[in-house]
Amino acid sequence: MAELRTEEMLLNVGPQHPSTHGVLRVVIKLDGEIIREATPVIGYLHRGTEKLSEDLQYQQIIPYFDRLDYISAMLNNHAIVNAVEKAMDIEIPERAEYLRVIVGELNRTAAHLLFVGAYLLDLGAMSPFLYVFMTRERIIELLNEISGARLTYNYMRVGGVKYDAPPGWFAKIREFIPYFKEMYQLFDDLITGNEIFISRVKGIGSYGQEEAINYGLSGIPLRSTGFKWDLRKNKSYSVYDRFDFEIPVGTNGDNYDRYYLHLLEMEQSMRIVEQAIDSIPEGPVMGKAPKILRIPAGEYYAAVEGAKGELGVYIVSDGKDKPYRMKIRRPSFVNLQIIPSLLKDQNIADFIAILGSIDIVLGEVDA
Amino acid sequence: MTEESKETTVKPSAETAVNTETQPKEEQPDPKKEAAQKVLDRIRGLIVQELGDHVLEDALLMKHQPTFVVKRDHWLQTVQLLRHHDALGFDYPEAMAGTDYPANGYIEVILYVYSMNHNELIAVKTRTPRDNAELQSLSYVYQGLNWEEREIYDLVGVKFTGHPDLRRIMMPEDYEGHPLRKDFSVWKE
Amino acid sequence: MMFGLLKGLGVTLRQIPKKNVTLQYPDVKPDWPDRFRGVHKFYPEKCIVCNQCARVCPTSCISLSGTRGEDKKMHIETYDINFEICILCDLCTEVCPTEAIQMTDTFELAEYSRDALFKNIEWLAENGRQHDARKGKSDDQANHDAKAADKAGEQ
Repeated sequence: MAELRTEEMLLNVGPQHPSTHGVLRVVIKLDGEIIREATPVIGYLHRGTEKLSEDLQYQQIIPYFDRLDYISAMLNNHAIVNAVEKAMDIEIPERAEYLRVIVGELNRTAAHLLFVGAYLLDLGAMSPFLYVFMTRERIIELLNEISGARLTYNYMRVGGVKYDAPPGWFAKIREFIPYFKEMYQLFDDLITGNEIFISRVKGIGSYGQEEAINYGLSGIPLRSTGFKWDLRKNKSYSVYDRFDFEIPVGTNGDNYDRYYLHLLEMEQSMRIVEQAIDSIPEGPVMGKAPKILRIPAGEYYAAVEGAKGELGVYIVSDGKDKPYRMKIRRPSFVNLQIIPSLLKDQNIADFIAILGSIDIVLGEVDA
Repeated sequence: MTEESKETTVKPSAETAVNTETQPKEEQPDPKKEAAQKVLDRIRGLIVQELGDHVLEDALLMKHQPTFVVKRDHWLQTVQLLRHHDALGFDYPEAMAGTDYPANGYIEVILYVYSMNHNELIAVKTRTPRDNAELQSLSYVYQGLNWEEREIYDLVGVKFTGHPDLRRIMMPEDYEGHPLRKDFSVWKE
Repeated sequence: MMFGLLKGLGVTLRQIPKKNVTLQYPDVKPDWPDRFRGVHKFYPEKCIVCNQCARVCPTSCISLSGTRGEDKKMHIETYDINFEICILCDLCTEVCPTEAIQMTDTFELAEYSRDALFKNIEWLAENGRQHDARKGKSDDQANHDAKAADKAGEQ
């Protein structure tokens, strides 16, 4: 072996590589089949949301937030309205809070379903993707019915939500929940026990708790190390403190844990939805909010638990109706940073398995 | 613990916060504010005790948020203390942002750090002149700030000395100007 | 050892007798809910040229102009929406005081030229007539229904 001459090879993955998520480019230095160095190159989808926000009134920013993590737009909506409400001390009606939780958790489930499907597709399993889309379509239709859009909902407003639930909507969710449980069992049968899948993900791409915290990871990449950290519990916002749900955590921080936590979290999200539609109070869905929103001068930071992790909004206001500066703490952007150290000295065949498990959406990474 | 108890008191504090704008603060003690003040005093005491009085420019509450304004030369030193001191232990970088204030002639960089052990969130910030904006890099203290600093370098134009890989991250590498500066215009030559 | 694989195969076999979930799209159109936000329709006679829709638009895709008529009221003359940049966020219909601009269930916006995405007042009014005919209601009736549905939802 020693006399073999080896040469380093530079491999360019992306930005249009079909196996990456969107327009991510990773430059890999290969030694044989071993990755020596991996450098993600991002910014291909940079639209300057932060800069654009400086020229927009707060209600106009909401549709732009839809387009960050575009597969969980409801949670993005929640992040911005929550930040503005906290800064302005706006109280919102209870029914609106419940509706926000319901649509948010439905959307979280849809986002996690998409992860499961896309991750398996990354690993070469086509059929789970189709089953996942069958289930996800039901959720998207529910959200379409309440908000009027399938992906970019623009549903929440500062002070409440735009619409109340249409007639018969809660009944449709009640019908959906057993269907979801059936499908959940199906995914478990189809994927979790599959030996080929397990041998590709178990024990691969693992990192420790301290490393995860130092990298500022949040969401499932942090919880997969066994660290119980979920803003819905740790810094409870909205009405999440009224529901009984658990925060599933992993043990090894490897690909398998990250995959399985997505499944477990969907189950918990459905538990929250179930409780919320049973206990939703009557009343208005839009509270008293000034027509032109002016945040008092100062600096504010508020975060919610997005589908990918802590989605925070930092607003600097000079008392006008537009933010002086808005910074979005995008979980995908922060989580992606661990990729170079995770990929170092890994087999090239595990590249996609590791990258996929971090669960990034490039709309959010590039903002 | 403290975080949860703070959350449960949101409603009364929301009303008092509105009142305080017109009335003097002593009227109604705000439990959330008092708790935050306690945190602020404790941490300021520790910083002054360890590093001296001269590192801090200001320590204030920004709507219940303990905030420390650190002198530019002591930026790295202070954050290192916050990270490694046992009684502080701010181990989780939450968010970092740079803001341009052309009227005041400086760029402000703010860092939100959280202590997982003590359940406290604080903000530390520092200021650097707009021309030749330069700061010590924190990317060795928190690895998660590597890209955040690159983003601030790219969009706001603050140079972080000691950063391992300071390149543009969002804009193309041959791009000129820093889009998040207030005097930036796309229509310029 | 290969038990998991067999279990997965079982899932596949169980799927065979089940009904299709896909739609033969160009032949069969999807049935959108009432709130669906498709391409706008515009009722020129209702518009009072208050300019609110153009001001609230996050992407500034609406441009309009009007003149004061002999009856001292403002009448709309041109009303253009640039669908290259419109994001169908619904903020314009939300602020419209007379419901002159509304969303329809039209969603097919593919064109051969970018210029064709620039829709003027005639196109938007025609889209409204077609939409109302499709729904089998006059616009007032449709408004009334939509409001009633919203009210019912609130309760």
